[in-house]
Amino acid sequence: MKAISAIVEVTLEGLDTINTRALLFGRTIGLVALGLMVLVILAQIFFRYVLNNALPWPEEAARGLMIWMMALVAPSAYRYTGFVSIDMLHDLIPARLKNYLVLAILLLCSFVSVIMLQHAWSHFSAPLLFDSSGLNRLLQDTGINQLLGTKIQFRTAYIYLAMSVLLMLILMVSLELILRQLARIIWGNERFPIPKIPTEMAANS
Amino acid sequence: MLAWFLPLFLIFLMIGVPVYFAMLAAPGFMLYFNGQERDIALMYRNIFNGIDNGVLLAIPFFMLAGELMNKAGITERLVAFSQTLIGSVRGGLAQVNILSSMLFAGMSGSAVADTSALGSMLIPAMEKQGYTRKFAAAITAASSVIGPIIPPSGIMIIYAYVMEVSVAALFAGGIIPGILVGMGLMIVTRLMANKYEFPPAKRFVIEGVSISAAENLAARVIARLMIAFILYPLVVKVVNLDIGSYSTTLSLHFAGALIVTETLFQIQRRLVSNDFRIVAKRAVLPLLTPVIILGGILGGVATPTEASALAVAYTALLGLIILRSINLKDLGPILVKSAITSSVVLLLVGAAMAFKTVVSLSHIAEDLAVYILALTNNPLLLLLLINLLLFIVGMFLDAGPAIIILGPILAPIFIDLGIHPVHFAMIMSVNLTVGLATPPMGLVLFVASSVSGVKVETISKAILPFLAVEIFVIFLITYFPIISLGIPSWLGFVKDVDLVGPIAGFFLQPN
Repeated sequence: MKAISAIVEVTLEGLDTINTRALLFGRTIGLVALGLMVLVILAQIFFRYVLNNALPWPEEAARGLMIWMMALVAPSAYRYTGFVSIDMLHDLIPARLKNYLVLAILLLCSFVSVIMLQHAWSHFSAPLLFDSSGLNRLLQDTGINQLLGTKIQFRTAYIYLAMSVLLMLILMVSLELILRQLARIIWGNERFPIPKIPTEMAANS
Repeated sequence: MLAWFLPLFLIFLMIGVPVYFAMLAAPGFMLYFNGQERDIALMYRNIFNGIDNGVLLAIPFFMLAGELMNKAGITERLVAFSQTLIGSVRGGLAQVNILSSMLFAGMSGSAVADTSALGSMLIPAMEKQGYTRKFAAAITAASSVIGPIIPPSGIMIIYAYVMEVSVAALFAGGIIPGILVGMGLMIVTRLMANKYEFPPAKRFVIEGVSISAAENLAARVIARLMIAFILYPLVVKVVNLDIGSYSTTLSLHFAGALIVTETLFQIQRRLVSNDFRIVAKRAVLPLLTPVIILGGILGGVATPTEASALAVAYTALLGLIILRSINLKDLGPILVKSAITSSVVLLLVGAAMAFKTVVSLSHIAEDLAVYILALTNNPLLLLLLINLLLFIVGMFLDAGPAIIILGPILAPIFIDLGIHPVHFAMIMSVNLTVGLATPPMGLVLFVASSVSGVKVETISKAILPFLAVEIFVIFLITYFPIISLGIPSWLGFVKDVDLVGPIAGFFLQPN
């Protein structure tokens, strides 16, 4: 039994390190994406109202950035603060029962994520990969391909991929949370505390 | 059979399944058991297409603008300005708290941002002047629900998107309800001041503040531009011309109006102290934010997305360059925080679009309508019932998720009964927003508690008189559609509407 708990502890530590790093990376990309979204829309406003030239790509680019931002940042919310939920019942029931309930909820959420991931992946890898017209115009107009001698093409599927990444990250977090919850049930809450919230995510920072 | 997804969904919610997963799991299971597996693929597509829309960019942008204002110390200038205006009334700082909330509401669309920004500043200040800390926390929480009612408003963008109503119409509709809630709170505070002997207020103009020459000049110019900006449509309406058509009469009237206001400006200058003028000038640049946002959207110049991006750019400019109250290093955490809050909302919007599909597949709205109409078909009574339901839901659920879940189910029923979509949106938004300040699950209460260090239970008791007046305003909004529809119909966002409503209509009947 002791050996098993030690193995679980080590596994959890490993998962914790991987998730902490992956999510930190996600948040970093997410903050850059948000900044870029603002700049892209400002460029759109500038070109439309000042230069009287409506660009074809900013809206599409901003939408893509928004979806990727969401995909990379939302798993942090899932791990540290939980998604919006009503947890009143949890304070009313005995601590032991609460542990089982939390486990059941985590399993349900993971199940939903697995089903969704199947759909998201088939959405991404469907044979109909549309070209993204607006963003390809951007490549054409800026002449990046000629400049670099490359043949980059934007496809709408690059944005669809974000959902699969989101769900995979959520499942990684779920795996850690489920394992930790099991360990909490078997070996007690004190030995397996909940991960600390990064400072920039605290409610009143 | 499929309709059983609703009870299942409610059970999931009660036991604490995150709203996002509950909204997908319950309909998903029922579709599966009903043999409609293909519709599950449809649900997924609706989630993705629901999020993949440029209108939603306004959500992260408004959150970002709010965070930037919070960190850039704009709050402090607004509070100082409110103090010079009404700080001398009995119960002064409590009134200042309410007025600051109303001004802040014109820039941010979130009640939580309002509570944490104003609370951390005003609660200690009120305590110093002799108010009890629980009263200070309660008034902060109660007044911050104005944040999402006065535009811009996060939940109204979400509602408009999910229910396919115009954002501009909802924004225009929120102005008067928001002002009414603010005025109601001010009256209650004034009445309580007599009864509970609030600390007497002194004329509270902060002395010795300075303003740089450049900002002074900018403030003078911008203040006049803002007034011209507000006067122009008014003059057009009074002279009764279409906006855009040019005529000598119009320009003469407009010039006349400008001269009158400039004279009033000059008279005002002589009447007030120098400190007063400086404090007022320091508020001009921050107050340009709501003018950009509302002027852009309501004037039909910019889309909500563009207006919100401009608001971000303007507040960043204000904080980084003009006021120099934040630096580039601060931007990281601000961006991360807004990204996280808006990502959770975006996921919910996606889930809502999938949920909406199943609502219409299951015909549950029609079934519920039959059931409800069997109870009564008196619209007055129905509206009362719906308000009760919304209020109870608001006690347990955050306003955003609640509006996303209930909108698709309830709105069709009431629109069929002849309630205008914008009016119904307003009833829902205000009711659920007030729910943010009601125990046991009021998000704003939690924030007020963490800012003030007073227990949630204690604030919950102290907030009751303010909640009473907010509930009263909800009834006004419900039964007098002119409150929500007046400005939208004046600006032409809604047409051919019954502004009178059932109660006033009863008295206006000739026989």
